[in-house]
Amino acid sequence: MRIATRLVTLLALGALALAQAGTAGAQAKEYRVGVIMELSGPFSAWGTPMRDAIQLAADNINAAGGIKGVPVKLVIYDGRSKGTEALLLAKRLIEQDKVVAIIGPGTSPTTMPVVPYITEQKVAALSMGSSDRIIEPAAERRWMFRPPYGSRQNVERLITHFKAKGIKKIGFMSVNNAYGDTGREEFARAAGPAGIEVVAWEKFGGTDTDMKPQLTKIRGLGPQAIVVWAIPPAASIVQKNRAELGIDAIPLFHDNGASLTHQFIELAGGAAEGAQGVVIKLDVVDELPAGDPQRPLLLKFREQFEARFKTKVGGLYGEAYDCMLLVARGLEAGGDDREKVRNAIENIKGLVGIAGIYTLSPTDHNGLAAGHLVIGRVKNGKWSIAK
Amino acid sequence: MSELLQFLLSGIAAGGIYALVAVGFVTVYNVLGIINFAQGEFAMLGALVAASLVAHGVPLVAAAPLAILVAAAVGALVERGVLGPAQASSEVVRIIITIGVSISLRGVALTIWSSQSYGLPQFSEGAPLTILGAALALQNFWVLGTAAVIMAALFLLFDRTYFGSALRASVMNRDASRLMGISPARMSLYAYSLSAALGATAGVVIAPISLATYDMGIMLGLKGFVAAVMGGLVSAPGAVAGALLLGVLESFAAGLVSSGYKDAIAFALLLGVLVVRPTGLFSGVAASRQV
Repeated sequence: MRIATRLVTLLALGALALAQAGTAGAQAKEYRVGVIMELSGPFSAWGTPMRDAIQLAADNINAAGGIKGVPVKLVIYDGRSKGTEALLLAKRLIEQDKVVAIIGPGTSPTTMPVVPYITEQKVAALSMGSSDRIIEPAAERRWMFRPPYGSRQNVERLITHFKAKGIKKIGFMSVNNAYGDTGREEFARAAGPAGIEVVAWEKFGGTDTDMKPQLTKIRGLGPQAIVVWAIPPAASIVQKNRAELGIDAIPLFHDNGASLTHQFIELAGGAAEGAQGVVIKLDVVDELPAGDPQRPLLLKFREQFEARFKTKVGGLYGEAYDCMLLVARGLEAGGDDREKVRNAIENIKGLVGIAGIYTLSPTDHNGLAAGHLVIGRVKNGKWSIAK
Repeated sequence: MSELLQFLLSGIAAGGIYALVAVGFVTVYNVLGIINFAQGEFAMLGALVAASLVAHGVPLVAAAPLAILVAAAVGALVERGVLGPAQASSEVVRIIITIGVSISLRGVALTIWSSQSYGLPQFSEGAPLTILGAALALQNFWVLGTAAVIMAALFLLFDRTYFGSALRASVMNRDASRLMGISPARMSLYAYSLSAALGATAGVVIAPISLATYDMGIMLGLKGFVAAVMGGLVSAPGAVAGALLLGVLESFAAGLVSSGYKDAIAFALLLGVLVVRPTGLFSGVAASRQV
């Protein structure tokens, strides 16, 4: 009787061990990458196409034979546009799904609550937020990466352009939230040393319907150009108001936030004509010289994305695609070792992506340079390179 | 000079938008005796439905009335479904119900339209009108015109028609009006649908300027509410005057002081009016509602 029980127990244990070996074997046959994107809630308009772009990148990698023959498996969760939800999902991805790295969350406010946990668990996470605080101070953000451009590169690109054009007097308008404030601080810091005088610092609400008072005030101060720091719909409304006021003589520049999706031009309609702004090469791919290193990738991405998801492509989705490319490089060198994957991502040099060419370092977890940004101008309803 | 004029015109334009929402508040308050915090959401509903219809090829002249009808139908459903059954509850309970309704409508809109913004073409094509160097988009005239027409229509409805008297009677004295053959329940249904339709009209008319987003109702509702309170909550002309004043003050604050304080102005005004003249800025002796 006793022997029988013992036998049964032994058998059961053996079966269990076998089963575990089985799953371990299965795990080694694929690299699990977690994705937290805002698929519902207020940020879903961006989260859903970003998820699509990441999926597209993973499918492309797998179609080309995976990473050294091992396919990538995405574990995708809906962050529901909430920081607390993102934190729960990060726990689930790390502890239950045992992912090697995480792409997401998709915005700054949903990323910040996840940072301490990610850091403690030692798993690389590539956030799609825009805040510099996600990756700075570098010493405390060992495990955080942020592939999209930040406000600093935007400001740098604009100021280079202003210097080249001899523009020295600026009127600055920003949306009254963390996004606008960051741009404002960064511009204030860089303007002085560059010899640029800012004659007005105006703000407007993200849901305001009329920015004509601010524009009128700025026009009265006689700047050579106006800089607007916002995303659509507010950015589009400013553009419309400028047309209504007939301020054609003073050029208006948007930061990259305006052109990240096709919404800006769509919502501003005819008023978008002549709008200038910081754009990525994807927005002006048709005008790029044949020798541009990014061009083949950009053309392929645009064609695949628009054919598969029936949505117009946007820079934001390109940056999401880049996240997967960066992770893939990490997996190539690090396999399923989380620490090695992180180190490999940090050491990426010259990776051609959609947003630019990534060269990361221990102090730069973004990896992009302002030089890859382009000043664009809307012509016939699409961005073209500003002359 | 042209700067000041631009601030004034922009303020009047913004005021027109608030006015359209504010008259909806007044209508519900006059008949149901409560503040309808879902007023802004009906504007959102009208704007989004109209934008979707236009995007699917429906001409604007058909899309606008259809959107207003849809919102009125949703308003009727809300009244029958949640407000009517709570008829016997206190005003506070019913006001809280309208907050619940506003959150639900926002949630439903978010699942249908996601968080994207949608545009609507201007009602009449053309360059903005320039007066002494200050500009006003043609759509703003539509907004102001609509506000004027609605204000006049509501005035006539409430003061000159039997139906309007019945609407007002049902809130002044339910039992007496029932004895006179007026059904307060039906009046409440009509009034709520009417205010939903008014909200939707506002949404449709302002969408070409403000664009349509699922959460546009929050700020619209708040500003409209402030305007209605400034006007004393019972009179449509008062609400419109309050709205215009609010818009102009905001615009001057943004242009002359600092644009960061724009929204603070609205709420400082609300507090000021409630403390100093709770019956509204323009109230005469007998203007307060007898309940």
